[in-house]
Amino acid sequence: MSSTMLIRTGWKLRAIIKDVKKVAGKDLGAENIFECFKCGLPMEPGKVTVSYLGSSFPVELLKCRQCGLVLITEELALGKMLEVEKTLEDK
Amino acid sequence: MDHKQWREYEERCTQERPPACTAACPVHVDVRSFTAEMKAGNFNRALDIFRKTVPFAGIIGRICDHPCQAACRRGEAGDPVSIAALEKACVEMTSAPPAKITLPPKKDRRVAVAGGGLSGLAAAFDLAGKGYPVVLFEATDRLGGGLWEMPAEVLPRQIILTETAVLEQMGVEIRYQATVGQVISLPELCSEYDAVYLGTGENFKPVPGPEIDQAGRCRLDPVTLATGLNGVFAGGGLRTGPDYSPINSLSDGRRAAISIDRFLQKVSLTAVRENEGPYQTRLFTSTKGVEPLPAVAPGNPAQGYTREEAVLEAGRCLACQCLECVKVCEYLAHFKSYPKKYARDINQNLKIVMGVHGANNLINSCSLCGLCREVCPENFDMAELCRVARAEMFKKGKMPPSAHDFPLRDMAFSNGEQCALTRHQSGHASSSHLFFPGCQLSASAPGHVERAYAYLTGRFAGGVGLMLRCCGAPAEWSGRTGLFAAELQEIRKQWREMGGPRLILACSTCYRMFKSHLPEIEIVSLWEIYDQLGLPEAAGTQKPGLVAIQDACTTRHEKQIHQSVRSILQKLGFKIEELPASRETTECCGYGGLMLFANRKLADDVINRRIRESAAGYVAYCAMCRDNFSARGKKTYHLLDLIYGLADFALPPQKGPGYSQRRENRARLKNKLLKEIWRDQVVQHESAFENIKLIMPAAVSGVMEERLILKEDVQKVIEYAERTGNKIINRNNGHIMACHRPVSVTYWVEYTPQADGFVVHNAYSHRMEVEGNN
Ligand code: SF4
Ligand code: SF4
Ligand SMILES: [Zn+2]
Repeated sequence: MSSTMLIRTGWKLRAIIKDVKKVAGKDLGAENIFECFKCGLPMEPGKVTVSYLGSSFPVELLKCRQCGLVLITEELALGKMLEVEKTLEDK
Repeated sequence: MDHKQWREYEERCTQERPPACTAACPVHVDVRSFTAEMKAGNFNRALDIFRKTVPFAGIIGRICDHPCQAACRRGEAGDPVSIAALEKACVEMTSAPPAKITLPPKKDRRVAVAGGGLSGLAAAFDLAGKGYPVVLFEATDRLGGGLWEMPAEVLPRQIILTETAVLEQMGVEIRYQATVGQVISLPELCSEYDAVYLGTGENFKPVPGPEIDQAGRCRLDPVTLATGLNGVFAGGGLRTGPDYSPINSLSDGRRAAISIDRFLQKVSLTAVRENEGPYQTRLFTSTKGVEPLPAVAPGNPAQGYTREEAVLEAGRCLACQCLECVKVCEYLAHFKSYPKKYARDINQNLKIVMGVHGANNLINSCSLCGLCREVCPENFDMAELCRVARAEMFKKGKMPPSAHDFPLRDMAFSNGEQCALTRHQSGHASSSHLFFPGCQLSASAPGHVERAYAYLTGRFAGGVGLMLRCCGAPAEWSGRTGLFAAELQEIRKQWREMGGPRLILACSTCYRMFKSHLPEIEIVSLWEIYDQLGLPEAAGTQKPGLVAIQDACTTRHEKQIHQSVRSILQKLGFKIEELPASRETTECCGYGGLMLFANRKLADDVINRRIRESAAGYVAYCAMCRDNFSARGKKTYHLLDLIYGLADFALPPQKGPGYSQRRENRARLKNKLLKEIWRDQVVQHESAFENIKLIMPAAVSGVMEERLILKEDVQKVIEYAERTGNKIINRNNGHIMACHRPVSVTYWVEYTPQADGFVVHNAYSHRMEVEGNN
């Protein structure tokens, strides 16, 4: 099957991941309301690797700078993240 | 299946076959598209369609002897469509100039055409169109032959002249007053030209020439129209004799042109020529329920149709197609095409190594119910295709994990220590029978399992054992071939250990699985037993009324089950309404094939369609049918509800238990039976998470149900978060957000501790792994 198909999958993924970043960015702006319970530190934007079915991508998400705990909001999990999952499942 | 088998399967679907009219037409006019344009008032576009297969359309349109009409399926509901009259109206009322003919580069091999009648004209037209230099020998001083014998009111002379003038524009050299046999002999023609077409009409006396039969007709190869002479082909009146048929003459000329082209290119004359000339189509078209309509009569018969009349008459065309299966199956309709195309898409999907697997959803959404096969005149079975495809996808690691994960975990739970049980009847060392209620009845109505088991032990003296577990259907439906085989093997092993008793099945799906995959086990449905051994005394207050029966799709071929169910209802005093689709053509409830998990939206449509088929309350003998229908607001009773007099018809539809409750019901059933029947010590080893007390608003339970999140998933998250301190606080509202990944899914819970429990505000999940959270 064609390499164009592959490229198209790649494109679609990249586009969605850009969106993931945007949504994550919105969370980031959520005026510092989240705090890591263990470390007592505010959750801050940071690089995180997410992966599924053998593909990995770096994204910016809210994270505890000390213990590394990451917040995935409902909006992200059921929106763009789900979309990426579906795209990868059909790859 | 290999590629060839897929192709053969595709071919079974008749939907892409032409309608009867087109197949009967010797040149295969696309009548269905033609009438569609006529109906829409687009006469110009209709003419374009007509001209695509008909040269000299202005002539043929006025005089065609229309063998298509005798084949027209509209004839089964009123008169056949007046196709010829429509074509006449079209060519008379349209003045669009024919599309410009672009000729390919001239070839060097030359063709002689003898005779300027319709067949010769058509042969010359097609051969010139392919670039061959053509010389046409005409005995008289004008083209058209027999056309000139038509009444001028039918075929105005000017039309013959203008329509045939196209040949000169195409560079055909016409020699008038040139009778073959007089000005030039056949042998001379053969030596001067590379190929010859004889279209000289029935009066041709060739000396010496092709063989002539007793009727005076030229003896021809029926497929290629070749005469006995090398490179000489013939047709038209020479072939048909005195029964002059303009459209058959035209067709002969065109077919001979194909032969001549192949002859000159030195390729096979006979390969792939099956459907030239008239033939019978395989397209199935039902005219059931079509309101009969007579043909529109022209106000002035001599004039033919007016524009308005033609539009009306074209509107009677049925636009023949099959789609029998698509009409009855929401799934097939949902993907907006038909099985032939689906088979192509699935085959394609399986072949792709890298790239988008666009048909995954199509493959996983089928309920595997087999209704298509029942209604298809060619027994096309989408279920079989999807089953094969799923197994192959899984084998190749291409099965989307999200599609079947949940029901497979549910199956593992049913067959795990907490729920599975196999025992001889208490006080018996052997079993003549073994009751297998199935995991869904145990989940939906564990009380019924107890009741039925008590009934069975009371009726059979030889000991009735009990086996609580899942038959493995989710493994089969999800393409997990190996897992399914293992589940069957376990059942087989336990059944042997029980001494090979006869199995009594309460679930239709189990019945189907056992029948197809464990043929060594003798099975009988619980319904046959109730029917044969008599109904139990029931103390209920239920008043029988009218019910409609939802036959289970997995037992569509089990007539004895359909019969027993009806007989039981009659004995109970119910009046039965048969749904239009019942017994072998019954419809699935949306659970079959795991459609409910792979495509929820579609399953909802399937259910909504089914529950609207009658106003009567439904009675089902499958727990999933019952639960799915009542969950969408349809009063639906399980047959056991009625047998035990437990249905209250005054109540609104009773929703079945949710996913968490279903699991709990199965586990509790095992414990309860162990305690009460076998007097066993039940060791309850509680895991830490089970002590987490949840306070759950109804709205949250609903959301969790929809998102396939179990109570225990939430308990596990909270237990984990509270134990490890891995949680996040929302400073605005004090809620805690925490996640945990006990399986290949990460569950998130938003909660607040309250007294000795936890208020759950929300729960969601994702499958992606997030570094730092695992
Ligand atoms: S019933 Fe369906 S599968 Fe069968 S021929 Fe018709 S369209 Fe094709
Ligand atoms: S109803 Fe229409 S499509 Fe069907 S056979 Fe008649 S003309 Fe053809
Ligand atoms: Zn931390």
